Amino acid sequence: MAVSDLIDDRLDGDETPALRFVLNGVEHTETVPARMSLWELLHDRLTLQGTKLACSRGVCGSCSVLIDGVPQASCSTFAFSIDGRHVDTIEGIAAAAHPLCEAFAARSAFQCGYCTSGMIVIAKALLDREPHPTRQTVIEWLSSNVCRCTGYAMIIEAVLAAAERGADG
Amino acid sequence: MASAFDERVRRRDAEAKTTGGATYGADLAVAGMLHAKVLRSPHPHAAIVSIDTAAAAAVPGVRAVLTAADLPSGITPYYGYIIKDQPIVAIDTVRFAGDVVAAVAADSEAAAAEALERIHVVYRVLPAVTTIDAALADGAPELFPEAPPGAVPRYGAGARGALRPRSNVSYEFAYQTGDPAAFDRCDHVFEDEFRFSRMQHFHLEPYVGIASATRKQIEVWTSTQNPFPLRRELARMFRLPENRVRVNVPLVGGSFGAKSNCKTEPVAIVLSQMTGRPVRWCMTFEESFFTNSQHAALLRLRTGVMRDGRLVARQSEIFLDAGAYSGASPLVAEKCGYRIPGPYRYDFIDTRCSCVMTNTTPAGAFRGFGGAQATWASESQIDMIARRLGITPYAMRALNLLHFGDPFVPGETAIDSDLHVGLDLVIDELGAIERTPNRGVGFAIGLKDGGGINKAAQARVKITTGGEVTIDCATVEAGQGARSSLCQIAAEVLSTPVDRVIISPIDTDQSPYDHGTNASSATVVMGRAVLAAAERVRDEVLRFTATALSCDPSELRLENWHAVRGEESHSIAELVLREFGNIGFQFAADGFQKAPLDERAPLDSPCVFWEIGWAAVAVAVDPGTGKVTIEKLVVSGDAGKAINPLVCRGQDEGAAMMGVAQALFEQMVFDDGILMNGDPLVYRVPLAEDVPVSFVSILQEQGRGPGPFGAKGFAEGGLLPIAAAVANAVDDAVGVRITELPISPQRVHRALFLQKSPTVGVTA
Amino acid sequence: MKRTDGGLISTSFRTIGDVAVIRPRSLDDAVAALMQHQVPPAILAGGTDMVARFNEGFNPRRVLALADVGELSAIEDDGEVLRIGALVTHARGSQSDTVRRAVPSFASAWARIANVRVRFTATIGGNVMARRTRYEMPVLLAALGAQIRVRDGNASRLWNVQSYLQREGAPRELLTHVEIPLADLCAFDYERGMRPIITQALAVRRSGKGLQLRVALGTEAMAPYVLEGTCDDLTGDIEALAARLFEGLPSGVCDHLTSNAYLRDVGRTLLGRQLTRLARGGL
Repeated sequence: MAVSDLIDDRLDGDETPALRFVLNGVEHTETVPARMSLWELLHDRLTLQGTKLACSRGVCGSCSVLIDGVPQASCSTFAFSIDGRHVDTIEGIAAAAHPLCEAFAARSAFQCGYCTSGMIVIAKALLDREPHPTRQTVIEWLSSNVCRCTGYAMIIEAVLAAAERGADG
Repeated sequence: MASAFDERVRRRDAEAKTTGGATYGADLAVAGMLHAKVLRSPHPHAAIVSIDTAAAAAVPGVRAVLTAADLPSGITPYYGYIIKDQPIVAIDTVRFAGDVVAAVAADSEAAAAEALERIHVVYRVLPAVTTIDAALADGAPELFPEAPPGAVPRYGAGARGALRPRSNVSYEFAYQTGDPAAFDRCDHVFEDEFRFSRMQHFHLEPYVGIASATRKQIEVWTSTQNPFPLRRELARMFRLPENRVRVNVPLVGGSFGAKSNCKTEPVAIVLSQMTGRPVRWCMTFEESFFTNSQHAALLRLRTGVMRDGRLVARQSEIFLDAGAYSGASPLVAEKCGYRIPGPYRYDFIDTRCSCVMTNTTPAGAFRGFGGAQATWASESQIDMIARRLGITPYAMRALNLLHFGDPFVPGETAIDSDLHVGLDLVIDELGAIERTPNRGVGFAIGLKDGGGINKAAQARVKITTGGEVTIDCATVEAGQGARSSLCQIAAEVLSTPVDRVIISPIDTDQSPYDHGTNASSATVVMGRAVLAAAERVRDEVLRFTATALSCDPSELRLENWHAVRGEESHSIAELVLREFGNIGFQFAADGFQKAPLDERAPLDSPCVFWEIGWAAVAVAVDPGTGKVTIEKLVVSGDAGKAINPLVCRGQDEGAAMMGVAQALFEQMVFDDGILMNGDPLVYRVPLAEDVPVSFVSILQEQGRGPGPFGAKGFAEGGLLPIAAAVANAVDDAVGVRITELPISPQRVHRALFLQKSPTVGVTA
Repeated sequence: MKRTDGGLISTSFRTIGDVAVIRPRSLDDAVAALMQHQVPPAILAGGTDMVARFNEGFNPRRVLALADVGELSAIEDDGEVLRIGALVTHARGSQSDTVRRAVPSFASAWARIANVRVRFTATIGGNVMARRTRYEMPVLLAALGAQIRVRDGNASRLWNVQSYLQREGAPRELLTHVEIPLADLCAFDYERGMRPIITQALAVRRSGKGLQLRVALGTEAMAPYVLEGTCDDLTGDIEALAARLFEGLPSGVCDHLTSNAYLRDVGRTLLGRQLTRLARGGL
C-alpha cells in the first residue's frame, strides 16, 4: 500500500468528509474542518451551548461530554474523532430527565453554574457504571472536575441523592 | 401558602443551570461580530521603543490593528477606580509580563492570532521591581515617575487617604482613634510580621465582552459585576454622555470580585469604533492570570496588652502588593487597614495601609477585599499573644471580643451579631479531638464591614394583570444566588408563589440604577430597595382593589393575587380587567436604598451590617513531611434571616474552601516578575478530594440584620478566618508558628527543623 | 502562551490553522507517514496533551491520528518483559488482567494517576512522549527501569526511560511501546500523597541473595531522579536503609519550589514508609 493511499485525499484541505454520529440519540451528518474541536462543533456550530469552555486544557472538565458513554473533555477532542460514535451532551441528559438534573436543581448543588454541565456529565458516567457508588467513589470521580463556587460538598450530596433516587426508579 | 423562604424553594436559575440552558457572556454572539486577540509584553518592565504592525494588517481577515499610536484622539485612555493609571493598551511602557501591547480584530480568532505573530516590537528592558520589599527598597526605580490622575475619597472621623506618599506607593489609607499614650501603660508590646499570599480568582468563565461602538455611542454585552460603574467609566473614557453608553449583563460564570470595571471592554470598544463592526474579545483562561489577582500583603502588627490578656493598643503597618496598575487597590487598602483590629475592643488604633506598585499582574477586588489579609495577621497574632501570656486563645478572645451593640470604632455601626455565640457554636461542633501527637485545634473570627460604603440601589417591581411579577434591578447573578433571593423577598411581600416572580435582564438603559454587585450587599441593600418597591406596589394594588370593592385598603390583604377581606376572596385579575378592559393593566412601583452619609463614621458612611465568619479546625500534622491535613473544619456565619438557606450554605462552604486553598497550597508563584504557574494544569485549586473529611457549615440566623426580614449579607465571611484558624491549629499541634502563607509542607517542615535547633528562633 | 517576536500570544485550539488528518491502519503505515513529509505530522493519541501544545503555540499542518493502529494497543507479557503499546489508555492498562497479574501494585498505581476522566482517554505513550514534569507515568517507569521502544523509520530502538526523557525526541520518531522488565521484580510502591510537591515510586528486585532498590523521585518541575541501592532484606533498620539511599541525592537536585534539603529529608521519610509498607506486606 502506498503512503499516498493513507492520506485520504478527501481529508486534505479544508473540510473532512461528512461526519456521521449520533448526538443525544439523534443521527447527525456534519461536514466540519479537520481543525475544529468537538467543543466548537457542539457549542458554536450546533448551538448546543450547555457545554462550557473554561480552562481549554482538559483539566477543569467544564466542557465534558460523553462519547460512547465515556466522559471526555470536548475542548481537547478533535471533532473528526466522533465519526461513527455516540455523543451525549448535557442537553440530551436533561431532555431524558436524568435524576441528576433534578437532584442538582432541588439541592442547589450549583452557584454560577459554569461547571454544572460537566459535573452532571461526569456524575452520569459514574452512575452508568456504578449505580450505587460509595461517597469515596463519588469524590474520586468528581475530582476530575473543578468547581470554584460550591466547595463541592453539596455537589457530592446531590450525586449520592440522585443515585438513591435512581435506585427507586 | 408556603413561605417564600421555605428551604424547598428553588433558585430561579436552577432549571437553566442544570439542563445546559444558561446563557453567559461567553455564549453570546452578535451578528457580524469580529474576534479580538491581544499581544502581551513578555517583560515585567520595559520601554516600548517601536511597534511595527504593517505585516499584521496585511493578514487576510484582519480588520483592525490597535496599538497606542492608533488610540483615537479625544478619548481619555486610562482607567481605574480611584487612580486612573491603566491604559487601554500600553502607552510607551509595559509594566508587567502580560501587559497588553497591541490588539487585533479579525474575522476569526485564528486570523487575529496570525496577525499578532507578525507584529514586531522593540523593547528596552528596564529594571523591574517585583516584590513589596524590592519596590520599597532604597534606590528602587520609581514605576510611575509621573503622577496618574487620582482623587482621594472623602473620609470621616479619624480616617484619611493620601496619593503617592512615597516612591512606588500609589495610595495610603490611614486611620487613628483613641489615645496614643495607651501603649505606655501596656504590660507588654508585641511586634509580629505576617505575609499573605496571592491567589487568582479562577472564575471558570473567562473574561469576555462584545462591544458595538461608534464615536457617538457604545453598547457592550459583558461579563461584569458592576454594570453602572462600568457605564460611567466608559462614558468618561470615551467622552460620551452616560445615556449613550449601554451595558448588558447576562449570567456571569463566577467572578469573586474579578469582573469589576474595565477588563475586555475598552479594547473591544476601540476596535469596534475602528472597524464599524461589533467586536468580541474573549480571553483565554490563561489570560486571566495576566489580568487580575488577589493582593499579597506584608502586615506588621504592634499590639499592646495587659498581662491578663486585655488588648489595649494596636499599631499596624500594612503593605499590599497592588501589581502593575492600581485598579481597586486603594479601596482594598482602605478596607484592609480598617479591618485590622478585628472584632476586639482597643483603646488606641493606629493603622497605615499602602498600595505598593510592582511589575506583576495587577491585583484587584477579591473575595474578602482586604479582610482576608487582615484576619490572617490579626487572628494569628491573638493566638501568639495568648500563648506568650500563658492564657488560652479562647480566654483571650472571650476577654476582648466586642459585644453585640458595641461600636466597632467610634462613629461606626455597632456590632450586630453576638460574636461569642458564634465562637462557641463552632468550637462546640468541632468537639474534643483525640489528643494523639501532632494533632491540634485552632479557631478564628473574621470580620468585615459589609454592604458597601454609601451604595445606592434602585429597584422596580411590576405586576401584570394575571399577577406575574417582574423585578427590574441591576444586581448581577454571578453564582451567589442574589437574583433568586430578591425574587423570594418580593414573593414574600406580595404573598405570591416564588415561581411567579422573575427578574428582567440587566440593561443599563432599562434597569434601575445600582452601584454594583459587591461587598456582600445584594440581599441587604438591593433587597431593601426591592422590599420597598414590592411594598409600594402591593399598597397600590390594595388601593386599587379597595376602590373597586368600595372599602378601605386596611380591610384587605393580598394573597396569591387575590384580595382577601374577611371570609371573601376577590380575584384581582378580574377586577383589573373589569376596570381597564382591553389588555388589562400592569402595576409598578419603585424602591430605593442607600445608607446615609455621616462624617462621624471613619469611612464617611456607617457600614450597613457586619459580616462575620467563625471557623474552628482540627488538624493533623505529619512531621515527616510537614503536610497539614484538616481533619475537621467547622465554619459558620450569621445570615440574620436566611432568605435562601441552601444558597447561604453554598456561599459559606465555597468561601471556606477558598480559605482552605489559601491556607494550605494555592498561590500564584512569581520568579522575578515572571509567573511560573499560570496554567490550569499547574495552578492548583481545590478539588472534591481536598474537602476535609469532616466539613460542617452552621447557618446562624440571629435575626438582627438590617436587610429584609432581618437578613444580612452572606458571601465572604467564610473565607476570612480559615488561614489563621489553621495556623493556630498547627501551633497547637506541633508548637510551630507559621506566619507566611501558604502553610505549605515545606514551611512546616522547616519550622519543625528549626524548632529542634536550640540556637534558632521558632517563628518560621 | 506562545512567545513571538512581539511578545506573548495566547493561542488555543481555536487559533490553529487548517490541518490534514492522516489515519494509518498499521504501525508501518504510521511510520511511513512520519517519513514522508518535510515537516512530519503531529502525533495524536488521546489528544489530552495536544490541546496544551496548541495553547503553547503549536500549529501543525498535519495530524497523524493513531487510533486505528491496533499493534500499538496490545499488552503482552512474555515472562521477561511486560510490553505495553503506546496507545493503551491509563484506564485500560491499569485494569488489564495481564498487567495486574504481572505487577499488581503497578496496575493499582497506574489506576491512580491523573484523574478518572483523563484516564479514559490519555495514553501511556502520550504521557511519556509529552515529557511534562507534572505527568506521573515517567516516575513510575523510572523506578521500574522501564525502556521506551521507539521507531524511527525502519529502525527500532530502546531507550531507558530517563535517557528518553532527557533527550528531545527526533522529529520523526514514534514511541511504540513501553517495556517493563519483570525479572526478579518482587514489589512496587507508589506514594503520591504529597503530590504535586513530590511523588515517589519504589521498585524492589531480587539481586543475588539480597534486594535491589530503585527509587524514582518526581517533583513538580523536575524529571524523575533515580536512586539505587541494595540491601539484604527489609528486616533491618529501614530508616537507616532509606537514609543510605538518599545520601546519593546530589545537592543540586531541586526545583524552584522545593529545596534539595526538603527533597532529601522528605524523600527519605517517604521511602522509609514505602519500605515499611512492603515489609508488612510480606516482602
